[in-house]
Amino acid sequence: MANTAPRSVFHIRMEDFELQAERILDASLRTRPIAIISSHHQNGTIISLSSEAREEGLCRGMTVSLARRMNHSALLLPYNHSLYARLNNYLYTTVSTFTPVVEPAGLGKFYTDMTGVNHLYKSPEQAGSVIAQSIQDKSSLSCTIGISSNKLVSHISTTVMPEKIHQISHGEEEGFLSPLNSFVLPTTSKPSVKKIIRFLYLNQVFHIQQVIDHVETSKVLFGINHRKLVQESRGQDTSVVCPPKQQGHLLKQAVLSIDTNDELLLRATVKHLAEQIAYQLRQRRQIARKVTVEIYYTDGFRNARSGKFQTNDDYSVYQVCLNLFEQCNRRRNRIRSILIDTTHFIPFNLQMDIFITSNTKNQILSCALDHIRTKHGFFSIQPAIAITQQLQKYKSPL
Amino acid sequence: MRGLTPQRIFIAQSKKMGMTHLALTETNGLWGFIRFVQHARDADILPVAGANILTLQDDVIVLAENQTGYENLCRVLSNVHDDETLPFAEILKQNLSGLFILSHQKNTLKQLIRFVPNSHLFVELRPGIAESQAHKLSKAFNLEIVATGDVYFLQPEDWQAHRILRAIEKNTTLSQLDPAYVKNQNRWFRSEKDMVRLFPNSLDALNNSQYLAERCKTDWSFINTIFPDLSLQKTNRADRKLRSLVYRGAQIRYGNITQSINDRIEYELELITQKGFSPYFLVVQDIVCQTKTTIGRGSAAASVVSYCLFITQVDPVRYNLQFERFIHPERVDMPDIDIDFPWDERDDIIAYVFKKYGLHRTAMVSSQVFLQPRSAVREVAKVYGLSNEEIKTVTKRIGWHSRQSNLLTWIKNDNHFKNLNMDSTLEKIIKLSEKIIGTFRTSSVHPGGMVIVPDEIRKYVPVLRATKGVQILEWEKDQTEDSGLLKIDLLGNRSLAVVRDTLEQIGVYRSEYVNYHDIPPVGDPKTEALMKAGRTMGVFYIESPATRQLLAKAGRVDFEHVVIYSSIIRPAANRFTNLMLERIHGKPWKLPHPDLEFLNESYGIMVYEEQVSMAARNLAGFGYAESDYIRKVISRPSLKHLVPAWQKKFISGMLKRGYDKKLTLNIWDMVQSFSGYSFCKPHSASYAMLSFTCAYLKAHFPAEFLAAVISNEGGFYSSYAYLSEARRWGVIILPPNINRSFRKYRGNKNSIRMGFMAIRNLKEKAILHILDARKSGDFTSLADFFMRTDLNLADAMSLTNAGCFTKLELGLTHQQIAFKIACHYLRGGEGENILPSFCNGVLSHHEKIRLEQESFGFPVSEHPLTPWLPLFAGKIKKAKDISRYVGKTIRLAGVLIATKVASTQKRESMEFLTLEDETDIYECVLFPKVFQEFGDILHWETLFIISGTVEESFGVYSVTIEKMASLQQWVRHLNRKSIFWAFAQR
Repeated sequence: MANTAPRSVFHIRMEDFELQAERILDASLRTRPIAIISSHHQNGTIISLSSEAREEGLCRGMTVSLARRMNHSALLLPYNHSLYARLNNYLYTTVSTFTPVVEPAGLGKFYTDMTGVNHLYKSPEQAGSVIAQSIQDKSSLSCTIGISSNKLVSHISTTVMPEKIHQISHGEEEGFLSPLNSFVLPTTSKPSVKKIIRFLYLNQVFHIQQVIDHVETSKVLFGINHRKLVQESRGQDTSVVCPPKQQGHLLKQAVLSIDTNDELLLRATVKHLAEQIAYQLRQRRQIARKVTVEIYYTDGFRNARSGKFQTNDDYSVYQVCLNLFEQCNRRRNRIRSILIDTTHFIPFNLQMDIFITSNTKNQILSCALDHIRTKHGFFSIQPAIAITQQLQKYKSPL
Repeated sequence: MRGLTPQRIFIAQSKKMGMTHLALTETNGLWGFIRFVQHARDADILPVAGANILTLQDDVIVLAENQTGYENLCRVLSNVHDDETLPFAEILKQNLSGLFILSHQKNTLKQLIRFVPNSHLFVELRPGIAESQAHKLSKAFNLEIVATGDVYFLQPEDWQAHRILRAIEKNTTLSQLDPAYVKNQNRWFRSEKDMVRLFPNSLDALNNSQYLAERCKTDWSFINTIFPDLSLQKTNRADRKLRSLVYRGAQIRYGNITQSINDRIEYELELITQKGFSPYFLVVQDIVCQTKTTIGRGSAAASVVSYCLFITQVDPVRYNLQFERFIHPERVDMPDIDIDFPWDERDDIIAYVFKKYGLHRTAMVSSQVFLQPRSAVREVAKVYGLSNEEIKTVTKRIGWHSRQSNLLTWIKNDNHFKNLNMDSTLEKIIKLSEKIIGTFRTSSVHPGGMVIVPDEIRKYVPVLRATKGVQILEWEKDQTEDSGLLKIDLLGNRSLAVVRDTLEQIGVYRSEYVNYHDIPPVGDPKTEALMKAGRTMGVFYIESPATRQLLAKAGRVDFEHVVIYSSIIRPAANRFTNLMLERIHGKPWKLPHPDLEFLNESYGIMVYEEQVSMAARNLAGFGYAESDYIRKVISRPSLKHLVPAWQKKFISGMLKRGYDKKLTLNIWDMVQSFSGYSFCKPHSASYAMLSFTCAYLKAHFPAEFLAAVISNEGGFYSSYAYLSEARRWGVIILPPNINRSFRKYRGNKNSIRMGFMAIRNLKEKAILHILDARKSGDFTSLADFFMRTDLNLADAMSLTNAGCFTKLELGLTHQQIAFKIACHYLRGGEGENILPSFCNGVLSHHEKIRLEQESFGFPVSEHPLTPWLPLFAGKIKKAKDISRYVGKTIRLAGVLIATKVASTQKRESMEFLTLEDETDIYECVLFPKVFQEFGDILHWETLFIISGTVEESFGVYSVTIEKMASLQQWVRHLNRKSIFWAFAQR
């Protein structure tokens, strides 16, 4: 028999997550106007900002160049992804202690399905306050929690409600949404829908609810998005909270100690990274069906290209990586870092060739090198290109 | 982008090395040949014309033996430009005569030997080619060897800079640069000794170089002007035709031709005929006939012949313009005639010229772009992979007009670069940038210079196709002029289009069409009153804040004075402007010396170019040619390097003639104020006449005039500013209407109807479609509009948001119209639109303003400051009242209309602002200290609150800003303060 009882879905959202993270790290920032920016490039934008910075005229989405010109006292901090990711992982662990069904929804945001564990608490609000308190105690971060029977309404609740914990009872979703701005509904962010909503001055969800009551008209206006809007404006969402699936990654990154656009040094770096990847793939007797080469330039730009490996000998892996690198590196700017990321692994069983081909030769050579490397360490033997004097200049963090 | 060192340095070096001949063999062109000949002559070196022709297969050196050879060289180069894939042999076959060919490639020689006599074909021995290989080729083809330097740079150390140049051209980095694109280190400039050391076994080849150079043409002469028609018969016919046209025109212009006018016409015609100038005049007259509104400018405005042919619009007899400034019996070079056309008709005029005279006779002049300090640093930094941000930290401080050559020393010592983080990479970049400054970067099309020759353009100069498809010469305007080719400047002028459009609009409701040539602007009291008040926004040439203030300060606006103002408003003459104002207002003055009598007409101050020439003639004892040349040297940036020599000559000339040193230096100071750009009196008079015409139209037909100004865009101010100006003239601004609007703004007596062009995101195609559909009558309803037009939803939405349908469906609200539009276009025009019950919302005032802001970029129904007015009560003064607060500090609010950054003598930046509130427009100054503190706000805000002192100068008021803030920030601050007080009181 199907369980028809309403679910209890929480949306936990850290307010200005990046900002809070920075302020935890550096207490001196707690009273200063600060803004987190996507990059120092002039086209970078403000991602998160403190109320002090907001008072000085800065706002989210403002370009870095404008922010710099407008405001001299606000501190513009670059986006520190690794810090936020680490803190996010910690929060994930914290939230997971309350329920096994936790779905990360971006940095500092989680959905939890508390349906099965609600009986442990007096009420969903009490469960929420326990979670919020736990997060506060363990990480000093403050959060807002939206509670409803589905992800959509819980999410909207944390976006618009000023209370720390707000619950929307089952059946009250439509009424809750009615007075809100139309653009809280996810489908309204689609350009075709957004355009019509703005054009017709459908400012509140209530107006959308009125339009969708005229089914024919609504279908004309919103086309294929009509159905979604019907569900969203009535606060219906059938998606379930899914814990993340683990995806295997094998990645190597080189951060150059001196930013450069010297082709020789860059190729040497790619060669070095490719060989490390190939060595590990051979150890695992696998090949990767997806390989991504990412280049990080000094000015904050990032370029990436993806491909796949057919085999796992040093030469072939290097050729694929080099090819991707060359496709990727279309700018003259200096490069700060190169990253090779491999995923989608499948077993690789080398079929014996009847005739000796160059592929077989490369495979044999790689195997011979592996022997030496296993015995004496990876760096005991390397091709000349990878140990050029310039190559000594970079450090490998991984 | 291959060669590195400037021609002058090569020539000086060759002189030092004792060379007698020097050949300039640029890659596929004669890009700098005229300049090369001039420099070589100055250094007493014999210049040889040549080119290094590079096609896909061949690499040869071609030298001109004689004039025929030069002409063939031009043809060959033009053909190479046409198609670089053609084999050189094929190109050369048709144009062989008079050319020496040198090649080091076996295949090329094999093809050439079949039809080039061995007296004109040689094996080239250049650095990088083994002597044995050259000897082998020589034996195989029985040809003599000629050694060449194949020079690309002066010294071996310059090779790195050469690589940089190649990387810049190929848009790549040094490490990615294909070695095939780079010349090796051996391509430096060698002396005879070095060449012997390089080719010890080929002394014959080295001697052959000298012999060959002696056989080449070196006696280049450019004294003959190349007129559009050369034959005697045609010129004779042209003389007669010109005479009859001039007298016919004089009858129309003057009515009664008095004896003095007749004498002037005869004098001019005699000189024109003598110089063979008649065909040129007829060509120009023919071009001018193609449109109604034109204006001839430059020195040609001094000619009564031009006036009678309707080429120029100022009567030179009435305004005392000297014909000698245009054509003088002693003048060697020929002046050109510059004509302005309405900007949107210029392309048609150019197409007409090409069609009439054919591609074989006509080409446009090119513009040559050279690397300047700022661009050089930027390009080199890009090769080194620096990001835009990093590059800007240096280039921003260098400035667009910087012409420093010792960049590194300058950057290290100048205050502008105080906090620059100079690391080793940046130092290297700047050092390399120094070396490539002045290198030829690219050529593009000159805005309007055209050349028409009597026979074949390709025999005078190589031609090529510019990116936009038009045929251009390899030479820019100065080289074109110096080579003897007669240039006609056909330039686009927005104000002529404004005049044309204004007259068209007036013609709609007036029975008779007002003719451009019949407008009587000079002496019109209404026009003069407008100018005196400085209310010249939109008026050609005198609409900038500086000129408006000058007009208001001077208070004298007769034609002669406006001509003076047009000339004196130039950057280097600022300090003379105030002096002149004082004299206009009656301060006693006298000429520094009786010999400077010619300065009487301009209050003892040098304002016209011809006054420079006159000073050179009368005071420094120069001849006519020299005095004319010094004028060019001072005003042309390309001749800047000659200024010190001419300064010396001018000063010593004056001292020698007994003038005292103080006077001499004073005069030279005035002469120097002409550097950069300056005008001759006829030119200023021409422009002043157009200014008067525009001012006349504004004074009598402000709505039509300002509508035309906005429609033609590109004015000094934004559309918003012109609409505000229109309101100040009592004109009502009407929003776009689907039945009343046209593409452009339309003025009608006391109202301006906004055109469809004002609507953002509305495509040109949609506008044309609507206007086309409306030809059969006005739209009667939305249904009628749907039936007769075929637009897309985006365009229909833009029209709706701009309020175009409001008057069409008076019974419907904006939301209902929007609903009908959306349903119609989303249904694909099928089905009926029944308005649902929810669709009855009326736009609030705030929403209406927001829609206007989105549709036009500015609010139309109200002034941008209106929402803030309640907050201003008692705190903020009005612009119309500033005259009451002279010497006092007041607060004003304003919308930014225009800005101008300037720098003080100490090179500190300051800024002039033009602001307006709902009552009037006013001028402000931000002096360096205040600019440093508040200047940044100007980058991101347009609404300001300022606090400053009201100053008065010659009856004109301005505000010296002491503090300024963004209006929104100020209001936020005010709110915070009031919340604080409310809290405190509680």
